[in-house]
Amino acid sequence: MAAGKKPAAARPDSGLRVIWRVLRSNPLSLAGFVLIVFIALVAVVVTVDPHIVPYGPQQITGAYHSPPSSSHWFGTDGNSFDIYSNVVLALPLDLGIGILIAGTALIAGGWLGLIAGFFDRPGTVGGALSVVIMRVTDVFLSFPSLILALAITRALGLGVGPTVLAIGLTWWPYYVRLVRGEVLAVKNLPYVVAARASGVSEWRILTRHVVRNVLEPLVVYFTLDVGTVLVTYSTIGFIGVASKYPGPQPEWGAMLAFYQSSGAINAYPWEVFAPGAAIFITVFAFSLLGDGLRDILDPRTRRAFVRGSRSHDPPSETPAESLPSGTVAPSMPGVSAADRGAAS
Amino acid sequence: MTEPVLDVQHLSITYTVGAGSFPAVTDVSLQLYPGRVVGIVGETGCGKSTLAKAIPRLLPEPPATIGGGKVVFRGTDLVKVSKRQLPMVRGTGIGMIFQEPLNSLNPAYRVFDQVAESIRIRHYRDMGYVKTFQGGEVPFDYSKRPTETVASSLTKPFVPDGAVGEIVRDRLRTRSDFRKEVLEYLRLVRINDPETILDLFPHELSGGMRQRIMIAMALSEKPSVLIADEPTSALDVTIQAQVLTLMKELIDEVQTAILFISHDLGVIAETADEVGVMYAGQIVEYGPVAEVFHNPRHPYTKALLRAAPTRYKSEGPLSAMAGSVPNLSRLPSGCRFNPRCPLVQPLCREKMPPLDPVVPGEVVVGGRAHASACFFQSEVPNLP
Amino acid sequence: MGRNPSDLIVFIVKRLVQLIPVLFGVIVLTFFFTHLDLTNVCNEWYPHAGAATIHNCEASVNQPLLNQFWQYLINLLHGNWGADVYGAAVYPAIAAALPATLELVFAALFLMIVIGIPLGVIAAQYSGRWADHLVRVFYLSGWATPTYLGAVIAAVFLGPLLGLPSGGEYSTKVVPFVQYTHMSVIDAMLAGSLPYTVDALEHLILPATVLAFINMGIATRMTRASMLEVLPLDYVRSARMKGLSEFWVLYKHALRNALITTTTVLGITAGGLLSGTVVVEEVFLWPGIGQYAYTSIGGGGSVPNFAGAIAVVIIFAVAVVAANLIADILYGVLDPRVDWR
Repeated sequence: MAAGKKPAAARPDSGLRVIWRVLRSNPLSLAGFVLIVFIALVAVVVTVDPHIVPYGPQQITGAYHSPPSSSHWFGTDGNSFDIYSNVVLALPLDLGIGILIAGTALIAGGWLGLIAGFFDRPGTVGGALSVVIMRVTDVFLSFPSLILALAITRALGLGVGPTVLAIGLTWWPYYVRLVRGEVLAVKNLPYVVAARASGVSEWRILTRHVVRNVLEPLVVYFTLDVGTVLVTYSTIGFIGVASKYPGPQPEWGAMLAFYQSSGAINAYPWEVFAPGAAIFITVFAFSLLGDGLRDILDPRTRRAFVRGSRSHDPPSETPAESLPSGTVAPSMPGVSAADRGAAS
Repeated sequence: MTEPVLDVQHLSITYTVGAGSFPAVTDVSLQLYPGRVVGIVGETGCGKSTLAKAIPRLLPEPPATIGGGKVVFRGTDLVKVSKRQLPMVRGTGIGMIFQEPLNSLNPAYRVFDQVAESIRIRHYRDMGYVKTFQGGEVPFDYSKRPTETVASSLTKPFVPDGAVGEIVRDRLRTRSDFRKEVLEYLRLVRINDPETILDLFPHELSGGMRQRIMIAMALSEKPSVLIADEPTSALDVTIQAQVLTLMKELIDEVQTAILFISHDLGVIAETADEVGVMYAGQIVEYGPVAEVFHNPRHPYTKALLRAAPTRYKSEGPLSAMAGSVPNLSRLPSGCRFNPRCPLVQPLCREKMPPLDPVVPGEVVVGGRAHASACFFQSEVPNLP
Repeated sequence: MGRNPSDLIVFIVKRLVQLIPVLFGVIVLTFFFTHLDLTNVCNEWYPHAGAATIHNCEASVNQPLLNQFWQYLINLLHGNWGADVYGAAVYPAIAAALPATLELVFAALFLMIVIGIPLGVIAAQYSGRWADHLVRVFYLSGWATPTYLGAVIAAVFLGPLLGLPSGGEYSTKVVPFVQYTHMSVIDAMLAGSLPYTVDALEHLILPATVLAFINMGIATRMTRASMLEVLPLDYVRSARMKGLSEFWVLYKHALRNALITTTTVLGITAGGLLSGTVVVEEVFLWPGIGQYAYTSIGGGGSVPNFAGAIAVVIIFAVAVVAANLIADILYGVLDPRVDWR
């Protein structure tokens, strides 16, 4: 251990600590995080009190196609509706849909992936189940989710509910694949194999090692995924199958579709830009955070991250020999030193 | 005596990790002459690998920084050379054989392509097809390299005045022509059945094979200076012996200056002409191999020799040295060996002993005289 | 020892056989998902159709679902993929639209490779520094841009700004040569007409760029990650020590290995690229499957086309499967450690 350095924390990789380390080391992730907090706050405030925005979604203001001004921040449209109010009122719906679909997919896909990964021994009931899950997942993964979701939406009937259901039906397979991959990787880690060999029960291995190791990549992927869902939903909205606009509940994709198809883009570009920018900024914020978080979970980039940040892995006895070759001991996320000790 | 081909003067290297910094190499001076082998010996962590990688500027900077000193290669200080110009020195100027043979070859290319690439680099430089080195004080000229080597006699004679024609011919050289030259180098490193080996990928070869190919690649560029960083430690003992014999033969045939780095005293004794003993980033004793090993004048060298199992003395317990290598971030004041030294005096804790010749008046710089960095070097022979 | 080219055929055939159940699953899923709500089918999909069509529809819908599926499967294999409300057959329409979409997707893929991969290398080379951050902002903005927003901005603002056309394949409706492949640039080149080739390229640039920009993130990110994994390895150091310049070290030695993983990921982008064509082709009036999908699904208030929508979903799924197959084979070819037997 190097001189003057405080001893390494007992649980160097606990979730919050990891997140804080990423945020501190990567200014872009920090920006994304701040943005997400801000967006979430706005969404909560608007949900609690929809009248906080200056106008209602379909309130006639009397100003037609007025450009952005102090009274209408994002301008007004041909119906004299206030665009700012509509954009803000759409936030809870869009964000909620993103979180709802990604969250449902995470839970459903996560469980299936856990089963498929953990009980994959051939010849057992679990093994057969695992095969079935993976076959079905493979088929689902063959579809571009947007196009399948579009077809399902159409089959179920237009509107927000069917669209959410349709996207949800196509979304979970990614999580199955992700979780199963992680589970298989963790299962074959030397210390987990050692734990099993020394008689630790399967259940304990599942809860103590596997779930904990799988959670972090899952959360990171979820962060990125909320943005992707949002884009997909708004695309379906744009194609005109999900939400109707103007209407009592505005939605960004539908707003954009409406203004774009009404030919407003050349004469009144703000009408198209306001909802577009709203989607872009929201998704961008989630992407910034998620992409940065992913860097440290990905073993490929982890090393660069550990090297780039103030290393919490203290240099070994011989920094001269061990450091330049870039061999920083890989540490599994969420695995405490005690765990490894218990396993050996 | 001729000019040294590589002159390392007072080189210091520091690693910066987080808030701490570690002096990995402190004030090291070395001279390499054509056809001679200088060995560097020391425990793991003494800075010998850092020194080896620092000479061709292969250390990642940061975390490493060259704190001071010069690495003069053919009149040019490599410390001052820009990163863009460094590749021009590497390979044909300074070659290197690394410690780890398993991953040192690119897994995606066949053996042929990798060896041929080295040969091609040398060809292009010999022909002046690639720009020569311009930085530093004196322009670098590749034609000054000693080229009378076994390897060059194997290839067609090089026609300097027809450079353009040669480039064209080289470009048009068929794969089979190149194959011949690659095969010669593989035979040079005693690879059996080189015809088959050529078309294999590295993962299909054993560690010993890969190390030989690495050596063949380094030699095929005919470097003026060859740095061998523990070239044999990753190999089996039998293969080690083969590779060492091979390298010795090559040293005799090819007038390359070699810096041979090892923790193995026996290997150094067999290959090197002169040896430097490193401890905690410093050279503490330097001199002709026979002198240093038979008449050590530094307590560390003495202890190192005592701890090493020799081929002749196999009975009796192995002796271990007291204490351990100091942490580079908490070096003792004065002589860095003082906490472990049996001869320690108050003076040793106050002042860093200079590298003084054993026979007073001998010139240390030039690297031929036996020298030791110990205030009480005359007392060392009396140690058990 | 070594790999035998004849084993590669076995390798490919094995992969192809593995695909059969997946393809069958694709058809099953598509059929049943589009028939989820039978009571709804006729009203949803044939809103403006005449009473006769509705009647026919209801008659077929009232049959047991398995019978319907069986009938559908047989028709599908016979090339009878149904017709839209106006009686236009689906199969010829899709066959005619496919080349244009392939052209667009391959152009986008090309841009992703020649721009996205070097960007990943640069990001890895300067990891943690401003060039890395800049690259990250670039690919994440592509990621965060909804396809329609990107397409609309490119078509309405970027097009006029750069003087590039943003609609259709050629400037003229009728071209004076035979369209053998139905890929605009290739047809123009086959006809030996330079002005038309340039014209076709100009029409291709904007939609392909939008599609590439939006999907580039995956390629760049993966290249960056693989490069960061490869760069500290011993063989990169060996290459440097050979005397190779940094360019060759990065692009010949390191990237060659990093590409192995990037290739597999490029296969995965096929889904994103195809999804993207739905909106991009609609905005740029590109006569491909994407546009056909847009109208079939009832996008922009057009009359939905049930049979067409099902066919498009299946076609896209098959394309994704094929792309992953190609990526898988490429992986086997690129990585010498993969055994073909």
